[in-house]
Amino acid sequence: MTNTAGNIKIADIESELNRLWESQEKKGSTRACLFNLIIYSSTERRVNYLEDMAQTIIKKFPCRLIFIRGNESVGSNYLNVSVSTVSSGAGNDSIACDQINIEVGYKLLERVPFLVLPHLIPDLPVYLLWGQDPTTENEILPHLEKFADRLIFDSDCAKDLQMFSIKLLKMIEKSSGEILDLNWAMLFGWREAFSMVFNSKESLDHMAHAKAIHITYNAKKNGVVYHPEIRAVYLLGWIASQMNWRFKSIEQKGNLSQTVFSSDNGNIIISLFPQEENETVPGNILGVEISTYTDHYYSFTRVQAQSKIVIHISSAEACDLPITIPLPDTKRGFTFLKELFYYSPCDSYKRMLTLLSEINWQGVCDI
Amino acid sequence: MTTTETKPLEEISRLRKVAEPCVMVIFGATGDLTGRKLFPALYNLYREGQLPPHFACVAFARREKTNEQFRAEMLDAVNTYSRIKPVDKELWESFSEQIFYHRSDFHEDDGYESLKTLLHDLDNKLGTKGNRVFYLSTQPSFFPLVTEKLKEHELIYDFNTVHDKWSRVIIEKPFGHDLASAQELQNHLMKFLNEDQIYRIDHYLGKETVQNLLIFRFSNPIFESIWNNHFVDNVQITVSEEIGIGTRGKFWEEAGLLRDIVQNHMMQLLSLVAMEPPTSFKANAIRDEKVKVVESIRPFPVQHLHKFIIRGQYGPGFINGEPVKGYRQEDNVDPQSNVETFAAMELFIDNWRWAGVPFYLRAGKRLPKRSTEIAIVFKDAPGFLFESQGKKLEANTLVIRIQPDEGISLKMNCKVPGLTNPIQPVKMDFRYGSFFGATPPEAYERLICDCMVGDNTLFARVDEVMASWRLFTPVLENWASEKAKNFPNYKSGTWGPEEANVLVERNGRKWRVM
Repeated sequence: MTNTAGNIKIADIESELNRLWESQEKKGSTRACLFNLIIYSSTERRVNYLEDMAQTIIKKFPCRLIFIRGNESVGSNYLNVSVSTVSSGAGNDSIACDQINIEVGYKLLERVPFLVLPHLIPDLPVYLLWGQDPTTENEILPHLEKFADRLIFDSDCAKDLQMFSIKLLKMIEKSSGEILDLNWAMLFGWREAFSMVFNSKESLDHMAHAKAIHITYNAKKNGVVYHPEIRAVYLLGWIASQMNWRFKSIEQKGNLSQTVFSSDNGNIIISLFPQEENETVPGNILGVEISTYTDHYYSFTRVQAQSKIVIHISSAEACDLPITIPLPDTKRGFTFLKELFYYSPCDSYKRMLTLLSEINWQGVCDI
Repeated sequence: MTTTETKPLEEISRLRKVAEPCVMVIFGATGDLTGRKLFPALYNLYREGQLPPHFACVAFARREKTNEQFRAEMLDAVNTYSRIKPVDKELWESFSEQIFYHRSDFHEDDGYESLKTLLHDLDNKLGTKGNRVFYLSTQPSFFPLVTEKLKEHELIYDFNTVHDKWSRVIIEKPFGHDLASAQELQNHLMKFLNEDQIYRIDHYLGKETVQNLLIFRFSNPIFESIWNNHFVDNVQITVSEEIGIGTRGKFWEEAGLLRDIVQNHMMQLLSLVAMEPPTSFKANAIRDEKVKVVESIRPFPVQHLHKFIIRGQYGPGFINGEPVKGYRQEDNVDPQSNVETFAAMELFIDNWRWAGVPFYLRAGKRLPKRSTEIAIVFKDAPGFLFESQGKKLEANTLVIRIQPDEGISLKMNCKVPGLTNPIQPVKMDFRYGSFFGATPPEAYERLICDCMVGDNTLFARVDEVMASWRLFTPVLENWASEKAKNFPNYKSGTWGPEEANVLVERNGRKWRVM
């Protein structure tokens, strides 16, 4: 349930929230807050997506949500604020939290940090979910990032993945907070699956002798996701950087992109293969196939209906029984949100960015 | 009757002394403070039966006014500024009959003579028994003149020889503008008054949450036992205001933030946080311990002042989404002004309890929000158990919120539910408003009442004031002689200049996000 006070004076934000709470408390609601979550989006297509995500987050983790909708049309000139209380938890109003909505035109963007700072709840973590390319000029982020414990970027907004990676690496060096991005967090299940399969000396040796890796992803664009290839690129980057493979070249062949790496055991070709699927969310990894110089073959296939990955492992001599690994649900599950907010971004994220920053992704990741 | 006399009907269990009959005379009664603070406080005390039944208030000021005019103005003021609104008409009518206006210049002997007659009449009519509270709500430059005249006209009684009635003087801040002027003022007052008759008001001490500091510390052994350098990493005291200087440009150009907020209010907070347990809750026992704290503060090294204390001045910026002027653009302010509107400092208290623990103080105008709080930041847990977290755990922090949203919170780390062990800081929060419901009395209510009962615990003693001036006068002299090169150095609506962050971060710490 949502209880809203629309367009209010900025000076009245806290008093309006308190007024809403007084009516909520009569119904037995408890005001709860685990952290401050500031979400910024300046592109219409991502606003609804991030709003949905915010509601998913609130359902699991009551927090003070400050949602900023920026308008980057140069002439826009407005600053509107509304507040609401939003129920958390499943299906009852016993726990609820605060939401502050800010709608701002381009000309008044510079005022936003000044508006946000007084409304952070002290002593609780501050998370910024930033739906804007950090390489572009930004009025708000530089003022707020120093207060953030974690800065989560939406790489779907990246205009150039190479520049994006360079920028994030610089920010990681400089920032006292933690930095990661949504697509990385969404890849959590696949990273888990890989680490579970390649967890023995023998299987790691197979991976070290990889000859070709074929990653299929859902390339369907839906007006919300513009860069469905990013998660596939991240998976590529993560595997290559973890295996210490060295980048050699990248080539686009029709809609297939091929990246060549080298290792002590020979070259590895990693192909990204787009496939349009209606059954699954754009950007999802649909499958990964790995063949090795030692004639081993690993096939990871997403079974969307059951939200799991089925893995077949075979060689010239043997064929193992398939393994099934569940995939965390990014819409409803705790795991994804915990990845987003609680787990420290590991060194592998930084290593992946380092590798991606060496590669020109034009043609693979179109603007 | 003196305060030491036995009162068999006073109920000890109420622990609240009853104010004796008296007349309160407010000098400078047409100033802002009277309408905004003093009369709302008097009205609320009256409403709650805390004023003595035999009571009168005389407003002493230069402007021509009748009793009726003044009463009407005060009714408006109480309706606007009182914590409890609207004013109860009937109550006000009976209360206002005890309010009188007396016109006079501060230097006019006739004015004091006629005041004496008026007070004598009131004693006869209202039974106020010759007891007097003189509230000096004037510009500080009038303190010596008014006290001298009061003594000259026998309105102040000799403390040592007159025992059947009493006279007390409440002095508003600032008490001097540096060590020499404070000493001079004190010497002057001592000619006419005994230290026990002087009530140097610091309204911070009248706040419920400040008073609760002593109760919180000394009635909860779990906290007091860790209140030392074995467990505390640092202490942060912040007094932030989102308002600018408003119409007080002239005052600010002479005073500045260090004098207006730090030297008095913040030093009071610091001494209450850091003091040793007193031998009793009697005024002098508490004040003895407070003064020891201020005297134990390591003096600022004048040669390296900027390493320990930094100053700032606000420039234009945004508050509540609206653009606001910088300090130098305010009315009655020099466009090249060197006056500070922000200060941050690192202090060390060289005593057994606090050796090595930095105390970070910051105060400023035009900061993002109005807030006064004390944060006790505890030392980190040994990290080796949690290395797998990949990040430093948040330090336990005990926060005492003085205003607004008075309360106490404790930040601690907690496991996020699930099969793995991520850790998140959470907080336990006690809010005065939610727990006790009723609005706490305003600081001035408590302080005026205490003065009437002769309890000066919550007023600053001269040695506290002098110790504080001794600490800050070298800083003020240095700042006066060396112009700040980078003013204005922070935008309105931000948490002050970058140097304030450097001050704390150079030792791997950071200001608490408020």
